[in-house]
Parts: sequence; structure tokens; C-alpha cells
Amino acid sequence: MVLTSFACIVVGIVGAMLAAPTGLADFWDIKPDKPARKLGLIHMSLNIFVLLVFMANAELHWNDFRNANLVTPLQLGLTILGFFVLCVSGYLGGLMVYNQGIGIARISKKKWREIAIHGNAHVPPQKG
Amino acid sequence: MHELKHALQGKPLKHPLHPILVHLPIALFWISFLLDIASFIWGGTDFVLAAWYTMLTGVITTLIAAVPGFADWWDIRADHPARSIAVYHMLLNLAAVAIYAIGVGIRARSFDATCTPTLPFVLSIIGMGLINFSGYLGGVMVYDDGIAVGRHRHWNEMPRKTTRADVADAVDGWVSVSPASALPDKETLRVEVASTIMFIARIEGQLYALQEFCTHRYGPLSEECLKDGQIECPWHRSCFDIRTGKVTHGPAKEDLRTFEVQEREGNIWVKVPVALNAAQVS
Repeated sequence: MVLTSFACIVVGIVGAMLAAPTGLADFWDIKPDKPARKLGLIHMSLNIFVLLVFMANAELHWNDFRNANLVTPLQLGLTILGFFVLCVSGYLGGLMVYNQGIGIARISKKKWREIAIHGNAHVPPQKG
Repeated sequence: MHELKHALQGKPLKHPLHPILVHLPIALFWISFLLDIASFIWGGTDFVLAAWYTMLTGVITTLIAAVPGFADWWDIRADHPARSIAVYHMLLNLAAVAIYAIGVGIRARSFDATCTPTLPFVLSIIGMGLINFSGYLGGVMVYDDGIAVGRHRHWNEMPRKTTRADVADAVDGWVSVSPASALPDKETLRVEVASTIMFIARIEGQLYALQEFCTHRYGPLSEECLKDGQIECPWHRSCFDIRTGKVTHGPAKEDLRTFEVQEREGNIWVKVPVALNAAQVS
């Protein structure tokens, strides 16, 4: 089973690297004076830390993942640390969405504008 | 009941619980699928067994995640565009978890196989399709329709539907929209009069009627947070003066329309608003 846990770590590292550029693109659009900007920086720093922890973890598995029957206490410790920090970071990412509204109605802005216009709302002038 | 609903909706955490919990089944079903593929490439009972364990854990965590998901669904207004998406999302998830449960049952009979048998692998592919598409729909509800966004700042009842008043019943330009008893203090009604959509709030006995849509990204102000004579949009926290509709805090820059509202003879009356948007459409 050490083999499967190693495989999961590798897939996790690859997935993290795929997700990171999209996160950076989201971060790019947050205006500098917004509180979400700081949350975004913490979220990013924690994720980089987690990535490094799991890379170190994978490196420690590298020579014996085929044959080992048990992970070492160090490997287990790294997994627990990485998982815990990842949960905190994920929660902060969620706060940016659910508490600060990052990414909300970004794609659907036109749809809601139409609905508001049909509901006789006063709406801002369309940007050119 | 109320406290239970608020807890399941994750209000104390300022974050809905359902989108946190769904990471578990989605990741576990993916891992199970990848382990099946690994068993085809490298072979080994380890992979087959691990694929079973991850799938079983996926089914269990799906059932756990479903409970707060149901609490989220409960507070979506009956005529909200996301309401039907939520129903599809729920049905797809139920179908997926049923298929995975069957898969878990079939796999339990072939632990000694060195690669995953065809039938449960096909079931896993179907389950992956369902759960990933359904997850996408869940994301559409949040990111396009703002479901559960900023909801933790709104502790009172959400409007259950849009109350429609018929202008044909108007008396001297005023129309009765609802019995006054339908609007307790600190709650809101979402009302449509002559195709104008507004919300009516009662604060310390006083009634206020303003346009439903925020002037930033058109968030639902009937689901607002009330504080110090201001209403805050649940989506991006723009604030407006409840009496005048003027912006008191961005990102919104434009003021809200206000409407005349009165309580008479046990009913709430609204002055029939002027349609204004012929000029705005284009």
C-alpha cells in the first residue's frame, strides 16, 4: 500500500501544478486595496509550502516505494503536516469566494445585467 | 430546526459546508479510477483492493456531503434560475452514488483479481462522468448564480419566492402586494409589480422598498445583510442607505431605485412603479 500512497502523492503534486496557474489568474484580477488580496497571498504561500512538503515526501519514498511495507514516521509526519496546512489553505480559498465574492458573477455578469434590466432596475451604463 | 439549518449551511464558519465536504468523494472517486488504470498497466491485487477502499470511502463521504447540500438547496428561492440546476445536480449525484454503490458490491466479489474486471470499471467511468458534470453544475450555481455566497451574513429567513402583484388590481396607482403579517421585522419580501422587481424590508416597524438588483454585478438584495440603516449586498459587499438607496460603500458606484411603500388595513401597498428600462436595453 506504500506504493498507492506514493502514487497519490505524485498525482496530487501534478494536480497542484495544474491548478496553480488558474489560481494566479484569479489573483491577478483582485484589486490591490481589497482584503481578499491579502487572503490570496496567504493562500498562495501556504499552497507553495504544502507543495514543497509533498515533494519532500515523494523524494523520501523514491527509493523504496515498490518494496516498503510501512511508511516511516517522518513520511507520515510530512503527510499530516501537508494535509493540515492544505485544509487551512483551502478554507481561506473558500473564504475568498463565499465571504469576499471573488469570482462571483464574473462570467455571468451579462446574464444578470439582462435580468436586472428586465426587472426595471437602475443599472450602471455599459462600459465601452 | 433553525439552528440546525444554519449549522449545516456552515454559517458559523462563514463558509458553506457542502463545497468543503465534496472534495472528499470527488478526489476519492478520481483516485479509485486512476488505481483501476494502474491495475491494468502494472497489475496487482494491491491496486484492485485500494480502488475498492477508495470507492467505498467515496460512497460514504458522498452521503455525508449530501446532508449540508440539502440544507443549501432548502434556501434557494422557488423561482430562482439556480433552483432547477440544483435539482439536476441532486439527481445526478443520486445516480452517481447508486452506480458507485453497485460497483462497490460487485468488486467485493473479486478481491483476488490482479486487474479490475470490466463491468465495475465501466460503472466507474459512468460514475466519473456523472459526478464531474454534476460538480461542474454545483460550481455554476456558486460562481454564476451566487448561491450560498455571503449567506452567512443573513441570519433571518430568506424570501421563499417572488410575490407577484397584479397591476389590474391597483387602486389610485397603488397595489396591495401582501398581507402585512407575511413580513416580520428584519425580514424581506421579494416583490414583482408591473415587471419591476424590488425587495421590501421591515426595519423597526418601518417599511422600505428598493430595487432587488445591486448596481455592481446585480446581486440579490432581498438576501442582504442589514446593519446600521444600511443594506449590504451578499456578493461583493456593496452597501446602500436603506432610506435613500445611495451607495455608502463600493464596489457599486450607482444608487438604487427606491419605491413608495405603505402599510394600510393589514396589507402592504406599493405605488405602481414607472417602467424605465426601454432606454437602458441595448
